[in-house]
Amino acid sequence: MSKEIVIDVRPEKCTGCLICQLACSLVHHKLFNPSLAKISIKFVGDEREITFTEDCDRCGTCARFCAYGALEVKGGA
Amino acid sequence: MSKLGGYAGSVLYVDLSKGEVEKKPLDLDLAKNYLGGLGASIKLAYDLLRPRTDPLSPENVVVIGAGPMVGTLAPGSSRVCAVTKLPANRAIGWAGAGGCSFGCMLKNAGYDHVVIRGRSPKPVYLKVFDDEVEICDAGWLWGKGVERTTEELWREHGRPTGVIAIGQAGENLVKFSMAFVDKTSTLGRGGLGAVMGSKNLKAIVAKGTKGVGFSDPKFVRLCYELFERIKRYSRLKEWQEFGLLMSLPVLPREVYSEKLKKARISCVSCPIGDKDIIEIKEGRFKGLIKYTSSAVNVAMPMLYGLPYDEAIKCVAALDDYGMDMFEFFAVIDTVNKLYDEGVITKEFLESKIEYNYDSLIEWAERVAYRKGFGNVLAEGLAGLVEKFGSRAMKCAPPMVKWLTAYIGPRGPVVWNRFGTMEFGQLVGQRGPHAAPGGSPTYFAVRPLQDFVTHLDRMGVPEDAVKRILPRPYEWPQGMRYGLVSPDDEMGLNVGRFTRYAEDWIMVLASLGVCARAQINRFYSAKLLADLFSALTGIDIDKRELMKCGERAWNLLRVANVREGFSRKDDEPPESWFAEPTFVDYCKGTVKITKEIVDMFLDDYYEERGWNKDGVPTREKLLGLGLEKVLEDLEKLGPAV
Repeated sequence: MSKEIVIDVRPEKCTGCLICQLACSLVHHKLFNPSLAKISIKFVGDEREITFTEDCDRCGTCARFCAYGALEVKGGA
Repeated sequence: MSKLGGYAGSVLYVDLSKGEVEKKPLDLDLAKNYLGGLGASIKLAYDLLRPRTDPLSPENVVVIGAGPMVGTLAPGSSRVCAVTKLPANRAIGWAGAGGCSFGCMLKNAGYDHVVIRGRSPKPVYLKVFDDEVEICDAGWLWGKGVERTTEELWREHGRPTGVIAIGQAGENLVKFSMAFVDKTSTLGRGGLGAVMGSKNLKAIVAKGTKGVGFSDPKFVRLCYELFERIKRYSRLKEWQEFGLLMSLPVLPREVYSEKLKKARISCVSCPIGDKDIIEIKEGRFKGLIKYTSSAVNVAMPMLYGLPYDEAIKCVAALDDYGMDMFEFFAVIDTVNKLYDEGVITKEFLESKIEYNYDSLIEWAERVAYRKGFGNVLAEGLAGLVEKFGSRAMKCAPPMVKWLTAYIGPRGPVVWNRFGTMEFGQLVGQRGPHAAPGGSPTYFAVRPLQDFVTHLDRMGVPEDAVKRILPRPYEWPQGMRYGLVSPDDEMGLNVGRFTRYAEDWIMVLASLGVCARAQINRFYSAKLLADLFSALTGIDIDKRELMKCGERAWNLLRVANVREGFSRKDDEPPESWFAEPTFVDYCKGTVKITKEIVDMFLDDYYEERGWNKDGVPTREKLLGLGLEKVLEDLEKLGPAV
C-alpha cells in the first residue's frame, strides 16, 4: 500500500460528486461502491462534510481524482 | 442473466393496483441490443404498453432506467431516464435527467430498471433499498411540494438517498407536470408528473450498498485517462464556475457570482459540477435557497421582464408545484391573446393575466390546484385548442405535438440559427426537446471544419459525413434549396445531421452519460464502445454501438406510429415562417422557408431509412433485427 500522505480538505469546494468515494472503493474493494469507501461525503443541509474512517490509510486516491480542489495532496505529491 | 460488469442485473416490476413487487433478472438480449438505460427502457415500455392506452389510466407504464455506466467512475455518468405515455400529447415519450444521486443509488440497490404499472388505491411512495423493496404510505407527503417532499424523505431515510418526487401539479394531473430528481433535475416535460399522480405515486426513493462491478480493468484505465484529460481542459475552471451560463448567458456573470451563487453541485461522477444551489442575498426574497439544474433555468422568466429575484422566486414556485415553466408561460401567452381576440371573455376571466410576480405566482397556484380558470390552463395547449378551437391554434406560440417549441426567433429562448437543436424540435418524438437533436449545434456558428471532427466523434460513417457537409460545387442538393453559388452555401444539412445527433444522444442516455455537451464532448463513439466492452464484458465496436442507439430510436418511432403519429405531427409551426424567421446555421444569411424545412424533413426521413410519411421501412426494421416490431407495424395495415 502506498505511503501515508497528508490530504488538504476543503469541504466548501466539494460539489458532492462522490468521485472520491467511487475511487476509494475501487482501490480497496475492486468495486464502485460509495458505501464501502473510507472517505465519506455527508450532505448536511446545503453544505457538505468530509470525513475519513479510522482505517483510512491516506493513500491519496480520493485527492488524485478530485476535480474541484476539495481534496488535495499536501505539497502536490 | 449471469452477472455482467456495469449492470446491476435486475429489473424491479411494481404493480401498484395489487400492491406487489417482483424482481426479475435483466435479459441479456436487452443489454446487447439496447445497451441499457434509455434504450432498454424504451424496449420494456414498448412490450408492455398496449396502443391507445389512456396515459392517465392504470394501464399506462412508467419505466425508469439507469445505464451500465451509471454508478461507475466514468465521468459525468449518472443519467436517469423515464419512458411513459404522456398526457400532454399522447406520445410515447422519453425523459432524461441528471441523476444527482438517484441513478447511482438505484444501481447500488441492485436494479437497472423499475417498471411501474397500475394505480394504488391511496397515496404511496416506492422505497427501493437493496432487497428491501416496499410500497409505503405517502398520506403524510400528499399535498406537499417537490422541495418539502424531498426534504421529508431525506429526513426519513437519510442521504444520499436518491429521490424522484412530484408536487401538487402532478397530484392534480396537470398535463405539463414533471417529476424532479433530488429536487434539482427536471424529468418528464409533457406530464410524467401527472402519470405518477394518476397512479397515486408520490415518489420513488433508492439507496443501496451492493456496488457496481466491471469486467476488465481496462475500464478503470480508460476512466482514469478520461479524468486526466478533463482535468487538463483549459476551460474546466470556467465551466465549473459558470456552467451553462457559458453558452446561454441569460444572467450577467457578476449578478450570478455576487448576488446568487451559493454552491455548485454535481451529479454523481461529474467533474464539471453543472448544477446550482442559488441563494437570494438581498431584497424581498432574501434568504431564498433554490436547487436547480442550472442558474440558466431559474433566470428564464427574466425573458418576460421580471427582475432576477422575482424570476427565481417564480421558478422556485413552479418547480415546487412540479410543472414545466415553458408550458406554463405558453398557456398564459395563449390565454392572453385569446382575451385580446375577444374569444375569452369576462365570463371566463376578469382580466388578462399580468406578467408580474404576484400575478404569475397566483396563476401558478391556480393551475397547480386547478382552481377556477386555472383548471382550463392545466390542460395545456391541447386543452386550450380543444376548448377554444382553431382560434386557440392561431393564438398559441409555435408548437409541435402540442408542446411549445421554445427555441425560436421569437423565443422564449430567442435563437434564430437553424441547427439540429432547432430542427430536432420537429422530429423529437415526445415533442420539442433540447437534448436529442441538440448537442452538436448547441454552440453557435462553429466553423464547418469543426463538424468533421465532431461527426467522426459521433461515429457517423464517411458517406453520411459527405451528405451532411456537402461542398457547394459537389452539391446538387444546393439547387434544391434555391442556392445558386458557393456564397449562398448553407453548408450543413441539418435534416441529415439530426439523425446522427439523435442516435448519439440515444447511446449516451442508454449508457448513462450526461446529455450536456460540456461533458459528453470528451467522449467519442470509439471510446464509448471500448468503455462498454471493458465494463460489461460484451464486445462491441463503435458501429454496433451506434446501431443500438438507432435501434432504440426506431423502436420508439414505431411505438408512436402505433399511436397514430406520422409526418403530419413533425410539420413545422406556420408561425416559424413569419418575420423574423430562422436563418441558416452557419452564415445566417439564408432565410429558412417552409420549403427548406420540408426538404430537411425529407432528407431526415431518407437518412433514417423511413418512408416519406416518417414510418420506418421494412428494410430498415429488418436491418436492425426488429422482425417482431415489423410484424406489429404491418398489423396496422397498408397505410403504413
